[in-house]
Amino acid sequence: MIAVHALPNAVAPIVTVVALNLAYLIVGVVLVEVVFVYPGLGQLLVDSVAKRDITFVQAACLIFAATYILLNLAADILGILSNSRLLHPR
Amino acid sequence: MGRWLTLLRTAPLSARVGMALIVLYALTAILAPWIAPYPEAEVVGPKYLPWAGPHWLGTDALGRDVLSRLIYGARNTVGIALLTTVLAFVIGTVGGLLAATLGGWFDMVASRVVDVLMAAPSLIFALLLLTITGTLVTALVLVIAVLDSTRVFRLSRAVAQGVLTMDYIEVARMRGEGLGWLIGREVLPNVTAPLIAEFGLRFCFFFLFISALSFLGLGLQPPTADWGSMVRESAKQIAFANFSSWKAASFGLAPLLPAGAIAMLTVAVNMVVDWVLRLSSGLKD
Repeated sequence: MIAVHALPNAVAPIVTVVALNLAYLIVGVVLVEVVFVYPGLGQLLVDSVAKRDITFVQAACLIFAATYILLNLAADILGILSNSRLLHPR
Repeated sequence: MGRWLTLLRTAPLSARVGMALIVLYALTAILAPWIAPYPEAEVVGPKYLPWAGPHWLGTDALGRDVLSRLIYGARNTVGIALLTTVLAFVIGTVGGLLAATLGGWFDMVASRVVDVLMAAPSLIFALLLLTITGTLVTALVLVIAVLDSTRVFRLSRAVAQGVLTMDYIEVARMRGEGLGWLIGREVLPNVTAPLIAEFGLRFCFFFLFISALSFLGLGLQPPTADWGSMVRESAKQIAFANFSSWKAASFGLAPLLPAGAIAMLTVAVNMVVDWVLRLSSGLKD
C-alpha cells in the first residue's frame, strides 16, 4: 500500500532535498577539510587561494561548481522520472 | 514615533531579549576603544595565561589580551557584516525593483545574470573572486555583497511583481507618473516589511560567512581581531582541554568564547526577525 501509492508521490521532494543537501555538503567539505586537516581538494583550494594560484583555483572551482550543477540536474531528472504526469508535457 | 513605541511595548519576551542583546553588541562595537582594557594587537603579557585579573579571559598564543580582542572583534566583524548587508541590499533592491517595474529585456538580462551568479555555490565563487582581488577589506565587502545581492534581487523582484498587479499601480501609470515615483512612492512602501525581515536573516548569513572566511584565513587579516580568526587560532587548544583545574579548564574554553559570541548574536537577530516576520505577515496570535 505504502510502496505502491504513497512512495511514488513522495519520491520527488525527497530526491530534491537529498541532492541539494549533497551539493551543500560537497561545498561544506572545504571547511571540514581545513578544520580536521584532511589533505583533500578543499584544503588544496584554500591553500591555493592564500597563495593566489589563480589557475588552480579556477580548476578547483570548476570541479566544485560542476558537481553542484550536476547534482541539481540529477535531482530534477529523477523528480520528473518519478512522476509520470511530468513525463508527458501537454 | 508613538506608533513605534506601542509596537515595541507589544513585543514578545524573545524579541525583547534579542533587541537587548543587539543593543549590547552595538554598544560594545561602538565603544570598543573605551571599554577594552588593552589594545587589540599589542602583546601585553606572557602567552596562555589562565582566566584571572588583570587578564580576565586570559591571553592567547602571542600574549594578547583575549577580552580586548573579543571587544574589538565585535567592532570589526559586526561592522563589516553590517556594511556588507547594507551594500547587498542597496544593489539587490534597486536591481530587483527596476527589473520588476521595467520588465521586458532589462528584466530578462538581469534575471539571467543573477541565475549565472547563483548557479555556483557562493563560498566557492567567493574564493575564486578573492584570489583575483586579494584579501583587502574593501574587496571582501564588495565580493560578498555582489554575490549575495542576487538573493535580495530575487526576493524584491518577486514581491514587487505581486505589488505591481494592484489597481493603484495602474491608476498611477494612467496618471502619467514616472518610473521614480512608481518605484519610490508606490512599490517600495509595500515591499519594505519582507525586505526588513530578510535584512535580519541576511545579516546572520553574512556574519557567519565572513567568520567562515576568516576561519579559512581569507577574511580579515591579522593582527586585526575578529571572531572567525580567533576561533581558528585557538581551535587546537580544545585537544588539550581537561577540566581538572581552573587553568586547564580556561585553556579548553578559550576557543568557545568567540564561537559563543558569534552564535549569541545570530540567535539574537533571529529572535527579532521572527517577531518582524510575524508582524509583516499580518498574523496575530
